Amino acid sequence: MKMKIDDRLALVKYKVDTKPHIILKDDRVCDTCEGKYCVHVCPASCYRIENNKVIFHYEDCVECGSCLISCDKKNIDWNYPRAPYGVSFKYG
Amino acid sequence: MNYIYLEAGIMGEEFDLIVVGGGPAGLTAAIVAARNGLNTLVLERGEFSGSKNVFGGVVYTNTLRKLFPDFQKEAPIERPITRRRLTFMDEKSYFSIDFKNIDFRDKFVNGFSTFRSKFDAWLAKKAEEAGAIIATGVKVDALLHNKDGKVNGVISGNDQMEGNMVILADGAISLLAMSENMKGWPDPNNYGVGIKEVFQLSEEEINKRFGITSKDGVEELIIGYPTKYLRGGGFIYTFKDMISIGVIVSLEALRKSEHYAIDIIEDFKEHPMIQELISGAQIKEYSAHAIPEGGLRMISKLYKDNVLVVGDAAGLVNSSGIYLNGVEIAMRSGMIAAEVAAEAKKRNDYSSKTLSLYETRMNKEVLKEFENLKEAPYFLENPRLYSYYPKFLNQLMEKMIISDGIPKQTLLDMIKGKEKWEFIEDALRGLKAL
Repeated sequence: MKMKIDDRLALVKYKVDTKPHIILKDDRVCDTCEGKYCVHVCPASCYRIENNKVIFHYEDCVECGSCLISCDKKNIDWNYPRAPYGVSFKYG
Repeated sequence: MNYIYLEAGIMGEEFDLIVVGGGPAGLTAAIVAARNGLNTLVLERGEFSGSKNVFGGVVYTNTLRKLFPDFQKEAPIERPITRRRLTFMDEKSYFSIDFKNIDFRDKFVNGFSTFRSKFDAWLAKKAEEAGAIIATGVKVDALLHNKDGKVNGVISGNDQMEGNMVILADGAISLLAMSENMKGWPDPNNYGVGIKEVFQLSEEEINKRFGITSKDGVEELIIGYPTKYLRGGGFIYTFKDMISIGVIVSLEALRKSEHYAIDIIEDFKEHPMIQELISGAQIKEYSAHAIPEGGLRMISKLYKDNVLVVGDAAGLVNSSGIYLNGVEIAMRSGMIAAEVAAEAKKRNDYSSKTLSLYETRMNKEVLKEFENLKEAPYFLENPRLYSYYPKFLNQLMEKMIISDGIPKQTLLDMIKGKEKWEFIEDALRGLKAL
């Protein structure tokens, strides 16, 4: 049975920081971006389109780096969360 | 000041070697360096080694055997990999090349399945036993430079730690190698995203479903259907009482497609042949990570004054389809880097003059393999391999075995006109590139 992404992410252990470790530099660049590749490649669905705008949620990020690699516009200020925050895999 | 450093007694001390990243590459470097008498510090950002890491499931053992000849007695082995399958899959059928060697059970453990949370944590323990200091929960933000611009330590938050040299083992997204201009901006054509789900099932049930004994483990790579016929592949690994199912999709292919990463693995799991394997199993975890897969064309600069780059950080993954080896190559690079670090300490020269030995040895001992396979990444960019051949091969098999009264033909005659020459051309290219 197919699982919704939110149910799959509920299986992942996080220690969520109070501030985001990844920031979209300039909203306007995302608004006019045709590809919006981040939405396609993020395995944690951290990038979603709402009202034609790219909305980013850092809380579910699994720190994989796919968005950084895929963004042609280099509009993602990408970093790892500060320790000891972020994802912690048991069966990685 | 962070209590972690106080506890470890590492503030104010000057190290011979600081390793950034406590994965297989960094920890192997730490073990070999500590054995050679280097005062070694490993900084790992995760709460423990292995907590931030994802892989499919297998560690090949060449370097591990050199490090620990008795590893079979103590390493966290789930199952030795005795069976390797390469499968072409379409909607309703699959065609596999299936290799099994029972010597790989215990006579010679060539590779074994494990979880990074266990394997990396075990390696960290071995590094500590060898004399290295491991500090977990420490994220390195930048490298420290002296007034001549040479690297002489690391910066984490408000803290600094000094060392004669630094080994960058900070993984597939090495922000540090990038900031030191040893690595360019990542190219989506050189990376895949790996997405994995882990299921629990009883050992007996796994044995039954895979047709194996408890002494066997399966590694399977599946081309075609798993990735919606995009460049990449699916994978299956067996553990003692777990199965991992996953996909690796080229980021270049995925981002330009109409598909979404989050859907691909779910649709793969719906395939009836995967359902046979996982029905009734309980899902335990979902994970993902980017994977360097550009081969020779993406290898970073390996050394500069006081700095070496190892493992995924340097792009050292052999993912040319037939081979899928990241951890073992990472460990090999870590071992060589530490031996060069020991030489640097002996000469009391950590400049690129001594550290260039790392590149010389890597060229001979590791990059030869990448050189041999340098055409592979280009060959594997051919979309026909994923969109056409899985269906083609399955149709060919069907024609071969189907009982329909039509007179049977030779293999070559079964393939029509233009397709025939394309097939021969691609097959020859594949034989040469892989």
